[in-house]
Amino acid sequence: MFKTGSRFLFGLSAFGFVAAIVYAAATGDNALGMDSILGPITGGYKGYVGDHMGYSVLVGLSAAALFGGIFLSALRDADPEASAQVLGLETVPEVPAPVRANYWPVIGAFSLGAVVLGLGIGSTMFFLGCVGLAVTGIEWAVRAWADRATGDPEVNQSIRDRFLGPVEVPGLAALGVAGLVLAVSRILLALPKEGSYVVFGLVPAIILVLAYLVVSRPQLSQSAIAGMLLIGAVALLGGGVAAAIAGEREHEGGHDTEHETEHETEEGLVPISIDIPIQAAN
Amino acid sequence: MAVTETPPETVAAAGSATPAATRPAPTGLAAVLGSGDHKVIGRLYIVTSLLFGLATVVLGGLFAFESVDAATLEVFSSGSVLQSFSLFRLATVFLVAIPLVIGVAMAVVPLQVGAPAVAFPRAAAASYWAWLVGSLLFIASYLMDGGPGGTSGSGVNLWIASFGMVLVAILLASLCLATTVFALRTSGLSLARTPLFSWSVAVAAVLWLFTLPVLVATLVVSYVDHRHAGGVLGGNAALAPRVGWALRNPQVYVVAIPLLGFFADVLATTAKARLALPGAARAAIGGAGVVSFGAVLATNDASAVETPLVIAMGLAAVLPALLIAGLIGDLFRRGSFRLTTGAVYAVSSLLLVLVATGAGALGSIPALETAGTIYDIGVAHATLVAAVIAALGGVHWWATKIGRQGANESLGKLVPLVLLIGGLLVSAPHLVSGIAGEGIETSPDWTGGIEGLNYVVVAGSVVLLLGLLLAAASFLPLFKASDQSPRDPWEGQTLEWLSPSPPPIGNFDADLPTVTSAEPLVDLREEN
Repeated sequence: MFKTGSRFLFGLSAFGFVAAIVYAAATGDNALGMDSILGPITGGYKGYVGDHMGYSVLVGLSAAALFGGIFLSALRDADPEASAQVLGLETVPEVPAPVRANYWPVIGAFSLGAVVLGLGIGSTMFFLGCVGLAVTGIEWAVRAWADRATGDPEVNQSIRDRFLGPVEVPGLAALGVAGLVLAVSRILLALPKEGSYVVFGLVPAIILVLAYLVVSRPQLSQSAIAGMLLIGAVALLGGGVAAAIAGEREHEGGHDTEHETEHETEEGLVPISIDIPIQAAN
Repeated sequence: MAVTETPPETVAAAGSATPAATRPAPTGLAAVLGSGDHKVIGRLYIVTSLLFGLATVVLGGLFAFESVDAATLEVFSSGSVLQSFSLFRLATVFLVAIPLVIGVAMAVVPLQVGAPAVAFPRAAAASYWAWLVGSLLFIASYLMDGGPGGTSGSGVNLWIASFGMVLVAILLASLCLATTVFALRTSGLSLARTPLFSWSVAVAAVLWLFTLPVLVATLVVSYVDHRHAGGVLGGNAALAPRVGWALRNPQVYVVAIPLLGFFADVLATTAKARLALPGAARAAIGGAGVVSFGAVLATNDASAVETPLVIAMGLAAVLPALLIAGLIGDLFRRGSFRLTTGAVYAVSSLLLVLVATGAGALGSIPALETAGTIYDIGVAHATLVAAVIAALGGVHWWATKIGRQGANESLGKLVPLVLLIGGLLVSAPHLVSGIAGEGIETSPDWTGGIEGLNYVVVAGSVVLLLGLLLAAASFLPLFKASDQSPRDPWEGQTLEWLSPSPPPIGNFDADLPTVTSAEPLVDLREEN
């Protein structure tokens, strides 16, 4: 019933507890007696406990190891033979090596980075990071589940797509449209009036021509289409960011800029700014 | 739990699925960004931590240079010196030594235990990327005038949070490695037969899993405290002392635990002999784990280092290394001797580990009053350089499994000797200064050590930098493709040498034999 891993942790737990008793009894100013033994056994409820710090660490070690041991016992150390028994298989299932590329670990790491950055500099980044982590968690969990659904990676992929496709496609489309509208609007607002007329006419024309090319040439490779989309996305994003940095052109009709300035200043504040005198750490 | 509902036809499909080894691997950027292959993840850890290592050695050299004549030389302004010093010390442990050891372990341990993958491969990939992003944010926080001693509230907040992220990433990697050893061993490979490097990695990983959460919890509390103007715990000024226990012995010894396994595996192969008393070696490595439990010092009480428990741990820390050294001596007495590069790396690292743990044992004697002085830095430096030497030795020894072909042998033999000299030069002056009572561990106006001796530290830093550059040069062949890379260039004893060089995804191209001893390849040779 108890496999090697859980036995190791149970042993460690017993060692930690005995060591805690011995240590607590051996340290401190109290004379060695029944109270010195009772104290550490009862967690200090009755009797004396010597050095609290060492005792706490050793009891903590014992408790953590006990928890780990129980946890591993419940999972039977993830013993493959036990898994095969549960599955009703005659042979032990093979541990699959990850073959397909999976970008969620990278996205998850950068999302966590955004959360950390947000903890330092502002709440917007923190919020974006949390959204990224939530999306990563859902995508990762579904993919992990689907990867174990059958022994065929292709079937697993289709199962995953069936689950997440109806959410991913509209979600990505909404993000794409929002990004497009935001970037183009920034560009149109930043350019001089005549320039904005040109862009307003030119961008849809380019999209139309490229779309016609793609439709009329079915033999066009996926890489070429992906390349075109990538270049377009980068150009749009770059233009949008540059335009946002440059700011809006002056509008003829006038504008209530006072309120905006005040709002931006508030947004620009860090949540808490602490300038405390630094003393030598020693 | 879809797996429990697997229908019969799926079981059949599982049986007839294409073997992992023959499936096409991702190529290009996907092979890096999207890979869950433990060898790719290991390589990423190794390369990145080496880059951080070069920068850290330069930073350390600059500190020593300033300390040569602290009155006139001002490399770091008095306002930023504590920040730069904390960056240097934390980076040596969490951006260089630990990730370098994790990188080698990530690449090698699954192969050693006969597993086709590391446990939780995607989590292992996430651990690397989280560590990388966390490390970059950690450095960025210093550029924002954050870190201990920083004056920017946002910068200090970012420092605490990013340091926590680095630790969480290391914990994730530790979890993957420990689980690989405990749960993914091949048929017949009991824990008592597990290769000593894998066993030692498991012990170190468990120790990190037990101790680093204490540091994470400390950072969480510190973050809350700092966001509330440091009213309870002292805010920014209390940060450096509160995390100091993770940078000194016994906690810093954890990074040296995998070295003990590395010494035993490499030198047993070099001596072409089975290790006598493998159980004793396993117990010694486990014992090293027990005496490296540094979380006992996670307290603001400076007198904690003088408690009987901590003193006993400090004194006992030298014993595992001595025991392993004794077993290795016995190997060469019984076996034959070959001058392999791995052996030079192992012996150089072992010598430095003995210096570090011996000095640590000496320093734990309260009468010498070295606690909290620069002496601790000397012990830490010796330990960390030993870890770097052994990790680089691991890259060299397992080059055909980690890279595409073996490393440069003639250059490789020089590297550990250069690094050993560098390690002794950067640690010995601090030990001497600590004994002499010169310089506290975290002096705010850095005047660490005896001024004259700091010339030696500067020289040591230069030698270390040279050693790292030589090591990088010796590893260049690993990046070149070769179809003549031998499976087993050293007549190895453990399962990793049965895999092709370089190993494919899935690691092995044939079924592994049932393991019946701790040296399955020696058994195979004897049978044939």
